[in-house]
Amino acid sequence: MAHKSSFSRALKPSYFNMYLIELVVCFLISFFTIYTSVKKNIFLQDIKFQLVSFVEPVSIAISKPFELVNETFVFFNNLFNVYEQNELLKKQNEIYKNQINEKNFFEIENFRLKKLLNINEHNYSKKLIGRILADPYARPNANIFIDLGELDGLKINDLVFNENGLIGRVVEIGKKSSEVLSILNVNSVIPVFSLKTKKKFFVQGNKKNLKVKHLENEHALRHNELIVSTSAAGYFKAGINIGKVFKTLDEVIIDPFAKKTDSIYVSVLVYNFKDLTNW
Amino acid sequence: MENRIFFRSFPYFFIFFFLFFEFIPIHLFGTQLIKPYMTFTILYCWICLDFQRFSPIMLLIIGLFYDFLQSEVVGLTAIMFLILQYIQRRQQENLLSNDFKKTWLKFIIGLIFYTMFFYSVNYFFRKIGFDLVKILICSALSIAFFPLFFSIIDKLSEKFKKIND
Repeated sequence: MAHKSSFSRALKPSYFNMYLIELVVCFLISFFTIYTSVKKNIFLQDIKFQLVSFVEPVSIAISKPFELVNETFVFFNNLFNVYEQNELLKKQNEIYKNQINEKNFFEIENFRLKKLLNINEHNYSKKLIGRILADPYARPNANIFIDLGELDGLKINDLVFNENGLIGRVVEIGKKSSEVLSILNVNSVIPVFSLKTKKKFFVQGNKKNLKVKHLENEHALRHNELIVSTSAAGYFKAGINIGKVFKTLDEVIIDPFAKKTDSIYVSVLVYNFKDLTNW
Repeated sequence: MENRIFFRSFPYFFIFFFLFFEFIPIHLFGTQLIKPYMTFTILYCWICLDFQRFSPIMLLIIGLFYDFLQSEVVGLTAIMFLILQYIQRRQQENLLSNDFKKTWLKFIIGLIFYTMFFYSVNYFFRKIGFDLVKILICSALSIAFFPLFFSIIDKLSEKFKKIND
């Protein structure tokens, strides 16, 4: 009677062996993805962007009922405060009317002066509106993803804003989505300038606020002083509002104007340097 | 035939629904969004009660999908689920006990191990910081909701077993 060799048994695995083979393969794939993601493999990053873009409609569909509930609460809340809001809006309306008049006056003056100087103006930047797709909730240091990508004309280092100010800059680009490095991220360092004390230094993300870097006497900064960007690093344009100085007895920090969770939508400023050189 | 396909695919739909539910746009609830680790808890319950429901390949896909949406290092959750399934497959009492308190305690140990593994790998290899207080609250919520999820999955799993029979 011939006995089966262990080799032939391995070729015809039992159910348990099939499971074991499957398990080992799965483990190997998992370790491989861990290794590639630690090494920041571009292919894996691309898959991640594609996946985030692909699942966007599903996330929106699932979030829709919550949005409706949320909007209903907001609606009723607004309904109760309608009179106060109306009064406030009337006052704001007056202010805006005056500002529009002023703006119209400046526009006319500007037009007149341009005509006088004979300047041909070209648009060298455009503003795109995007939606935040993913914002990992338990990790304040994590980057956010927006639904604008290469197809929308986005480039690495384009600036991302919300209505309060600068949120961060684009660091990775997919076809339809991009990764944004928040100014609060510890990897984010911005060259800045203090408007009152006229000091040049750097601010680094510190999860909830910004840390002052490369400034000998931090306490020389004034409380509530406005901090704006400078163009020293090449990424940022000068004069973008970053935040305000917040001084305590022990430390000096910068409280940023914009936080990534302030709003659902963000705007991205896309520069077109080709047009700028033609200008 | 259609029923069979439905019953076979239902657990996947169920888990993927919770997976999306966990990652629906966070901005709806602001910065202080605190919620239980629903996908992890549900899949853990399902592995406890019916580990044969999911093949290692499916666990790998779910784990990778989960990590793609929430993590910088991809593959950690898949490894965790594969380990859990292997432990449960070796001996059913490893994760599931007759005394529910013991099952609960094992879940707590598993969750602590998972969160420590997940956040430490992300921190050491990709320098991704984490909010310890939030993680603790999320973990506490997951632990508190575990009996609820467990009973839901128990009922579902029993129902599927009866239908299969």
